[in-house]
Amino acid sequence: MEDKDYIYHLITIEFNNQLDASQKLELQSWLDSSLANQAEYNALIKILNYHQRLHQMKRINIDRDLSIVKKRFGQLSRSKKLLLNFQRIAAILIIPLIIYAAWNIFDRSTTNEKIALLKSSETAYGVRSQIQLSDGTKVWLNSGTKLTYPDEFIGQTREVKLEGEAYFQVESDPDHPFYVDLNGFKVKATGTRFNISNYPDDKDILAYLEHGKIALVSSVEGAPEIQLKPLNEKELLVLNKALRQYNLQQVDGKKQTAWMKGTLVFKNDNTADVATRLGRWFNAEIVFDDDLQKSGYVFTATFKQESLEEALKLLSYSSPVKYKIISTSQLGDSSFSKRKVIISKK
Amino acid sequence: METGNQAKELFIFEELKRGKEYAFDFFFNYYYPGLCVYAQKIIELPEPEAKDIVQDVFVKLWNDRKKLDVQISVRSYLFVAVKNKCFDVLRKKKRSVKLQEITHQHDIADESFDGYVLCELEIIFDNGLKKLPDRCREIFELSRLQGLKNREIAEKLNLSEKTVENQMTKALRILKEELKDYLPLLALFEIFHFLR
Repeated sequence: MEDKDYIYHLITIEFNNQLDASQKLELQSWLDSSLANQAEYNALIKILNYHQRLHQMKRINIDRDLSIVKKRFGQLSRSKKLLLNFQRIAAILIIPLIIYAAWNIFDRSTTNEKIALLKSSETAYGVRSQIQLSDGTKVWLNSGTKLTYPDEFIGQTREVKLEGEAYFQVESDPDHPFYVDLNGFKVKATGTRFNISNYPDDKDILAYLEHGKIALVSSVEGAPEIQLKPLNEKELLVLNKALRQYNLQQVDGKKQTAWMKGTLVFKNDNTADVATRLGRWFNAEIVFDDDLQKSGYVFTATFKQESLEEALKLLSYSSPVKYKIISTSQLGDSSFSKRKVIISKK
Repeated sequence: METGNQAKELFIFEELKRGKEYAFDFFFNYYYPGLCVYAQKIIELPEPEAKDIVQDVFVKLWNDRKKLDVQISVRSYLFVAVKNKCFDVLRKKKRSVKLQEITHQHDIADESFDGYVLCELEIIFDNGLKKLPDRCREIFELSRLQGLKNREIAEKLNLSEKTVENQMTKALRILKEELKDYLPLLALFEIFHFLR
């Protein structure tokens, strides 16, 4: 009985959170010694809890609070009231805003200021081209690429939209930063030379900086900017579109921009990479057979003016592979399918 | 709780929909204190804020009564509404509340907050407390309800700390003996541990 009294004593102290370490141990060992002890402990805790809660509930003045609540019948809740106030303020503000905007538009039309028209340049697969934008910026478009840009840059920023791969030589103008919209991401540049690859069916966006300074900006609001360091490190940013994660790789700069000079460069590239890039270059569907895909074989080759057949021949000389070209066939809508190439182990 | 109670509640709720204030009074009397303690203790909000939240919920219950479609029970509607509002407030206060933890710990299935249970418990407890000698009960309530430490109680009542300890132990022993028949009932309204 003496022992039990001591445990009860510990429990009352525990409830006010006043047990010291050694007392905690004593209580714990009593609890661990039998299930009956635990049941008894739980019962005691229940009594103490209910007693306390009952006291709290009894202290509440129901009648007074009921009359407070009834006075608010038909009124809006506090948060709604706030929202309503906000709406009122917004309504008051919007009138001068509309007047200002209308005046601005009117003013613009009288001063003959132009509204930029959006243009777009597209290159078919297997074709490369170069254009110059109104600010003097030069853009080289790789095959299968679409660039959307205004016929004249108006406003604080210069903005273009890219699907595919392009090399930019941006005319320096720090007051009007140049943005390349990559559907979910943006690259910000002032005076700079860089290459971006953003094909819709690729999982990564590649950004290679040759000279100057560019930054990757997430167009999701609040996401942090990723600053790209200048060129001498020859850095390539590989951004996974789905995961929104990126890593930086040291790469061979010549390879990144070789396509501009009409050269297709492979340097220790895996089959998947070769298939995509070779396919885009020659507008063909390139398939490596399963054996080759699994083999982990990497290719190194440079093509300049070769045709597809010549390129494949070269590939078969330098690597242990053979190829088969399946010629085009006419489709139902009188267009032609792409040439298909199957590459397999020798 | 039991289906009988639920049916009664739904009937009263229909009265509320027709704009009868007595129906509103019924729900208020029955659930208001429990909801206040629920909001306050479970979601760890100070009393005035907890009451504001519960009062908002009741004002909404009246204002939206025609739109409300309570099919299961008024009780769960009220508890869920209070819980959601509490979370909104918490979210605004500190952005990183581990909401899931809170939800798991304190399930609204706990019926010990209802007016009905309150009455039952009150009788049970009063009977238990009556069995305590006056001095013993005084010390027990000072400790449990006002949260005084044993030392503070000893000073206040001009007793030795040892005496206070003994009285507390005695109170707990008597209460446990007196309430032991009701403990299964208490266990029925399973309760969480404030201690943990």
